[in-house]
Amino acid sequence: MQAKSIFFAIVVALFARPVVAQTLLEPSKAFQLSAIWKSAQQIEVRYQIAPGYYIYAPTIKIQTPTPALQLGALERPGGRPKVDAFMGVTEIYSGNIAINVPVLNTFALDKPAQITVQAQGCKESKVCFAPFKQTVEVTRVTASTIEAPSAKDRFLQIK
Amino acid sequence: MKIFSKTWFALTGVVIISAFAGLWVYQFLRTPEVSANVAQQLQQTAFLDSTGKTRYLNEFKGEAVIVNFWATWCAPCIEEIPELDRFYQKNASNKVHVVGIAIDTQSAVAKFLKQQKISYPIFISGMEGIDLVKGLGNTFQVLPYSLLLDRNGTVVDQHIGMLNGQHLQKWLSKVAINKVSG
Repeated sequence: MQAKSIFFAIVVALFARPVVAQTLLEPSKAFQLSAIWKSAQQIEVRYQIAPGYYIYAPTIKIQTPTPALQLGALERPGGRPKVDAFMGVTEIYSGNIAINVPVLNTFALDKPAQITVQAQGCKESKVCFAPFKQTVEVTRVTASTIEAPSAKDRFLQIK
Repeated sequence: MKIFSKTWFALTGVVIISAFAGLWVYQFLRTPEVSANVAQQLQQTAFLDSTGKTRYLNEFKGEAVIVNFWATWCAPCIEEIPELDRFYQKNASNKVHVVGIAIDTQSAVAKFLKQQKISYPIFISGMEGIDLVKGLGNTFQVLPYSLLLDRNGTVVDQHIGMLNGQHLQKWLSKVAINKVSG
């Protein structure tokens, strides 16, 4: 029984190290973006940030490719302070965050609307992603059903 | 039956462990290939240095170069700079150079260089450098990202993430045995 346990421990150790410790999620999986109509005057932009990853709060910029939609200045929630060697104290987001974006004009909610969010983030103590843009549909559902990144997610190897 | 069961168990174990050990070694040793065309393009890409002068990687022809893509907005990049600087100071006389390519604005790099002294040359690509690293195979466009060029300008290895002293020593031994051909 003991021999079997050792055998399986060796197999797990050999397999787990390269697959788990050295994977890097692609930006769209590390920083899962969604957006919902909170009301006719407000869109809620949501990020589900994978464990070990973070976004620099001040880098978030929101635009819309939908011509008939006019967005106001985003209302960012407070983040967690982080001290960087060069940038000094900055604010970061990790986990789940929601950002409210006011809608400045009257927009028919049954029409399709999209938003584009630019942000910049990192994997803690490993790598930083270049500023990335993501575009999503603004949906009319009220509850998020975003799933956590699955094992099937694409990954890059980091040594 | 009991003996057969034990033998089968041992053989299966050896096969599985060998397979996973092979996979583990492969994932450590594999080097995503950079095509000769992309490597050539990299050598001919014009960069600016911190004084605004146009610079090219082919200035180092005949010498091995570690090309380190970094940015002032990348905390791990800044963290690895002292290690690269020590390596450069120790090995530049042996014709193994380090060149930092900042995917950043000239003003941000100038401000950074006032705060931190770096001995090795710093080139600036602007944010256009993102497309360059993507073309080299860094599809998620993450930094730090380093390439090892041999004395022929061929990309012989690349690394995503911070380089440490041990890794730099491995790279040093790689280019030391890579002879100039032709």
